[in-house]
Amino acid sequence: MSIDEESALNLEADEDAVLTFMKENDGDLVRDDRVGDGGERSVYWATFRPRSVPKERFIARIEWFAYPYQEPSIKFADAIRGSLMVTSAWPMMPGYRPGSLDICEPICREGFNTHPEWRQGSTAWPTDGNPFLWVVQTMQFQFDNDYQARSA
Amino acid sequence: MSEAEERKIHVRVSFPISKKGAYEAEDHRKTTVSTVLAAAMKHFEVQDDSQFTYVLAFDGHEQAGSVEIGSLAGEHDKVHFTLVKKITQG
Repeated sequence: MSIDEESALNLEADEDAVLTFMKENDGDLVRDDRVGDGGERSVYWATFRPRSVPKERFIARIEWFAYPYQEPSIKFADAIRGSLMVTSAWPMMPGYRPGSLDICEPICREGFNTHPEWRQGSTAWPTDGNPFLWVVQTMQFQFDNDYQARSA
Repeated sequence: MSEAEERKIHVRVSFPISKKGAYEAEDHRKTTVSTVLAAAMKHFEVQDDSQFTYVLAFDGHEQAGSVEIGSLAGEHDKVHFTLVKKITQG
């Protein structure tokens, strides 16, 4: 899915801070249209490393629809541009549901679809600052503090 | 208080989804994480509720409120925290 020009520019303005953060945490970030032909500039591939298992890597596909106004879809893949249907690509952590291939938290479209009530109050999607950085910081915090194992 | 204990530490707390810039202060080494957390939450105008609690992360790890910032800074004169909005249910 393509995004509007304003969203693309807003993402470009925020992505440097996200990339810096990911690198600081032994991860990475790459925009899909920079991976190769036919890519989407609304999609990023973020590589996470759980601090307790330094050799592990998890690849999240983060797709934006209207940035910063709407939450992204987040799925884990078995490789950059790989399958999104593999449960073993998912980490086992509270709120992460490999069996449903979703994250049940107010940081992504899947979470808000499961809990529409999260769209109100303190759980509402934040549009101030750099929400992209907030999403990956939240996920990295969970990888660093709550990671249990790779899903089967 | 010894000279080392009197030496202040530059504290910085970042929170990416705020209109405000980072919280910054000069605090004594014996200042606890809970004191910094309270000041940072006031700065960012956020508070705990039934859905979230706010915690400070240092070097990726959630820090207990009783920890003194001097123990985190070690030999350094500055310490950088991230304010984390931690969901209490999923």
